[in-house]
Amino acid sequence: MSNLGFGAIVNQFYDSYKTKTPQKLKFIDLFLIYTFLTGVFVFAYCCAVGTFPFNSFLAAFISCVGCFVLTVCLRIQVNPANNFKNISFERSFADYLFCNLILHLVVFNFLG
Amino acid sequence: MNKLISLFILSLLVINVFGKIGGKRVLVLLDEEQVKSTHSDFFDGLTKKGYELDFQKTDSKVQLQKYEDFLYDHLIILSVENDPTLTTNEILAFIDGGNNVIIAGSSIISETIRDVASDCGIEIEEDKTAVYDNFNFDKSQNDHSLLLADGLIKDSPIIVNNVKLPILFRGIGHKIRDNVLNYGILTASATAYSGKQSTKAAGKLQGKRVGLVSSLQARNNARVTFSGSLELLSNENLRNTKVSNKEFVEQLTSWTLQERGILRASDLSIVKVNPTSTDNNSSSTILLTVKDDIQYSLKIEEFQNGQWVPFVGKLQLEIICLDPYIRTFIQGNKQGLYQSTIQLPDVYGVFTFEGTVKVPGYGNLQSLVRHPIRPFRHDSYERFIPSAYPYYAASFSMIIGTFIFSIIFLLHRDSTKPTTSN
Repeated sequence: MSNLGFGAIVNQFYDSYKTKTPQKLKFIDLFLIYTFLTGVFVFAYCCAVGTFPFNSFLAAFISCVGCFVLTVCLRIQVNPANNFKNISFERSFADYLFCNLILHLVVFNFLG
Repeated sequence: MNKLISLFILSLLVINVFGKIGGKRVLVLLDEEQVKSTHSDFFDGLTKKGYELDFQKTDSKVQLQKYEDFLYDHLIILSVENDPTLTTNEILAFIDGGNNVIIAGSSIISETIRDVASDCGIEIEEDKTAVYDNFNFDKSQNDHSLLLADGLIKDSPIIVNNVKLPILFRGIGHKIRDNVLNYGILTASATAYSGKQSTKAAGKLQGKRVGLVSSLQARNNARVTFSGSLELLSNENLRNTKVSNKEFVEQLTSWTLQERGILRASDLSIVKVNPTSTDNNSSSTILLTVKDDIQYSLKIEEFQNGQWVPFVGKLQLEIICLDPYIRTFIQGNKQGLYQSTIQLPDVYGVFTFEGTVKVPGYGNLQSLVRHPIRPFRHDSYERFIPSAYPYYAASFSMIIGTFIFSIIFLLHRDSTKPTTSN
């Protein structure tokens, strides 16, 4: 029962994360954290200052959320623990780059 | 012969030049010829001011209009007991055309005049009634219907201050509609009543509500005055120095015949205060943009003693696009110039700039001009909004972050080979 305490679960998760995840996935996770923090910062700024250039707020927020989602998809497809044998690493990364291109094109135009 | 012809043509030109304001042709309708002599002072006063009086009996065939042109500018009807040949509709059309009417009655009023007066908001009492006052009558004559009335309208340009003594009045009373267009110029005192001549019994109209002389100023500035007493205008009362009939009648007629109290507007200009280089400076092609600063300027004059003099008052300016977005009051300076700097509203559309002056007793004045107000051009906005800099920074950082991440991700090489390898 003591193993199921909240602190024990967190420690166990952290240890297994450090040892079992490959380096690539750790890079992706770092980038995910960065994207998430940027999104939180943008949202907090909008709440504080108001929605005056609403299109700029939307552009920045969608850029963060879109990047987050696309990177999560990349992580899922690249993770060897999942059964994505028919999609090679190169194909999934090419998809990732293409989607990012479209996303940032739209964001740049909507930024005003 | 040539001289006659040229004089005739000249007189035609003169008649055409005198338009609405300053028109001098008057038609006077009388029932009896002797009215002309008993009221000669009144008519001489008008002739001295330049009016051309045309005396006709009420049963002669007169026309006020011919082929949609008015033959007379003013109409004076004195004591019509029988129906005149002019119909109610003809007289009302005359008023609708902007012309003025003075009606003076006595104890019997014809149906036509009753109808005209009732359309003008004045309900005349029944025939054979008179206004009696047992306290304010002329005691020298011991006639309770010969009133000394002093219920004058106050603070109005209709009667200016030199009417100090009471006014002699003997005639029929009327009830005035409670309306901004009607003015009760002379009303009876609280002890007066309107009663039948035979029995002197009081009717329903009593006290201060009994109107003795009242008028209507229609929305097209036509003025109609009704006086219940013909004797008000007679020589005997005009020459009487113990009463102010002379001054009262003079001011009443000069107001009714539009010699005073008519306004006109001129020199309307709307100018941008800070014109940019792309603006054209001529006011006919002025292009107004949302939130511009403009200077609105209008000159207002009033007609007095045959001349247009500056009118100093308050102009209400409304900038309307279905609803008034701006309503301000502009005070005029001594030259009658009304100027104000206004910022246009933050809405684009087709706007009407309406300047109105409505002072009781003066004619109405409305100056309308319609201008579109256009929205900002696409390059009139600020290029970069300072409050959005964090958003710009966040978006660019995401782009750069993705780029750096993809470089690192692709060039990364696992330091230890994976144990499961084919």
